[in-house]
Parts: sequence; structure tokens; C-alpha cells
Amino acid sequence: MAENYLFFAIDGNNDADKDAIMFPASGFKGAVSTNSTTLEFFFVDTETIAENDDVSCTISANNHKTVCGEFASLANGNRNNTNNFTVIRDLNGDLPSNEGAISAAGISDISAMTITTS
Amino acid sequence: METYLYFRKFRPASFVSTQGSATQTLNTITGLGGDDIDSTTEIATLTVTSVDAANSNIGSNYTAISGIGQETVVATSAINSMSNSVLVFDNSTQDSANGYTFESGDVITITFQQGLETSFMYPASSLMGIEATATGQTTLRFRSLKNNNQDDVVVINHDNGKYENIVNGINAIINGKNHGGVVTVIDGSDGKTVLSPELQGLGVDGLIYTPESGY
Repeated sequence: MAENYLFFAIDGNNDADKDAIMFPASGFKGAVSTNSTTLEFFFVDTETIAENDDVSCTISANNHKTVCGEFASLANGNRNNTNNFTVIRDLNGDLPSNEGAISAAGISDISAMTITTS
Repeated sequence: METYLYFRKFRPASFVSTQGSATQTLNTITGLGGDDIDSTTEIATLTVTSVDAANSNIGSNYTAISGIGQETVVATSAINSMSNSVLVFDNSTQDSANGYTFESGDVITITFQQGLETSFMYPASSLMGIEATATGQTTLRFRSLKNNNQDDVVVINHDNGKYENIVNGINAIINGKNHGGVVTVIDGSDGKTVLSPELQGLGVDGLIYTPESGY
């Protein structure tokens, strides 16, 4: 079965370091709440076998369980005959008009993200 | 398809501490399923119900106490410390704006929310093993979120002699045909325990999460 690729993008031009990132679904290591409105997703480091990369997401208060469920649905999405490109969250509102949104905007409850790579 | 295992710690919806003396240290929070609270991120609100008709030793941000039973929602920013499920609050000298000097008999109600490491999810493929670590206690080890060469550890407390049932239950969850997304394995929040059907009847009453390092 083809691999799903999971895409995250912050609100910006997506042209600078940590503006956007994509991980294979198989690289997902887990998620943990860090306070009432943040949920942090961890992935195998994209560069080397160092400390894992992570995306810290701002969500509605106490909504971690719902967001985890939506993430699981997207990561497991059966996308036969597509490119398996899955937007977990795209906050970029400044895409060139001729490109449009990459695909769906992703999990609507994620309102901000911080991408950390090792 | 991957199965994702979701856990949420045991937490009461609220906890009431009645001060036995004029101390800023609240009673130890109970009902936590073998775990403890070390982070103020889990505290949603603190409400003080005055035992007395007057208390002049409260922060300037609060309405003056003028009657027995008056409720004051105090600022969580004035929490002095939170460790081993014991909360200490600043008095009005330590924080003249948001502190509150408790009197003997004051009642403080804590309401809880999701906080640091209270809920977590792992792909089933990260499960490294399940071992019986004590009577009535089973430990799941996952590849760590951070990859710092240690495991993340999830301890489940349950009735004695149920280790094999716990293992069978986890196996059924992971390999069940109905699962291909997220499965709530244990959800102990809000004073209500929700278990995956595979773990019901085993007396699961505790969940302790120890990631390899703090997040």
C-alpha cells in the first residue's frame, strides 16, 4: 500500500526554514498534550537519527482527543489513485492565486503551529 | 493501516480542599489513578469559598470579602508550586495583586483540565513490549516520542492476576478488524473512566505515564 505523506504549514509564505514540513505517516512516533491548548506531534527526524522532529499545535481547550482522532483518520486515509499527499493542517492564507490550496486545509481546530526539527 | 492507541490519565473533574489550618498548602489531590500532578497546566480554575465574613488579606484584584460563603475565583498565576499533587498558593504578601491568604476552614475547589502529559497517543507499531511489573500492575513500553534512547512508559493498574487479560486485550485492540484509526484504550478524565471494551472487567483503575523526558 502506498505511503501517506503528512503535510503541515504555518501561516506564511512557506519559503523559509520551518514554514512547512512533510513526514511519511510511518514516521509518526506519537503525540502528547503539553497544556490545555497544545498538542505536540512527533516524527522520526528528517535529517539524521537524532532527536525526533515535532510539530506543536495550538488547539481548542481540552480538545486533544478529537484532534488525535482526526489525525488518525487522515494518516490512515486510503488514497488509492491519488498522490497520497495528506494535509494535516495548512494555515497558509497567502498562496499564489493560481495554485490555490494544496488540497484540503486539514484539521480545522489547529489554529497555530510551531515546527521544530533537530 | 495503523492503529493509534490513545490514553488519558485519571483525573477527577474537581477536587475540594477544606483548610484544616491557616496554611497556603492545599490537601493532597486524590483520585488520580496512581499518578500525580506536577504541573500547573492541569489547573483550570481555583475558587475559594470564604469561611469567614471578612478577610482583609487578599490580593487587590479581588472583591473584598463581605460575607460567609463568598466565592472568589483566584488567579492561577498565583500558584506558588505544584508538586506531587500538592498545590501551594501565594498569600497576599507574596503576591499583593493575586495572592490570597487562606483561613482555617476556607474551602478551595480546584477544577481540572487537560495539561502537560495528561493525554497521549502512540502508533501501535511503537509498542515494544508489555510486562508484568507488580501485582496488579502492567507496564507498556513504547519507542520514545523524542528518541533520546529511552522508552516511554505507560503503567496500567488493575485487579490482581489480570496481566494476561491486559495483554490479550491490548493484542485484540491492535489486531481487531474494527480498528484502523484511533482507539481510546483508557480515558480516565473528568472523574469518569472509559475503557476500550477489550479491557473492561479487569479492574483498571490507574494510569501512570512516564515519558523519557519532560515535554
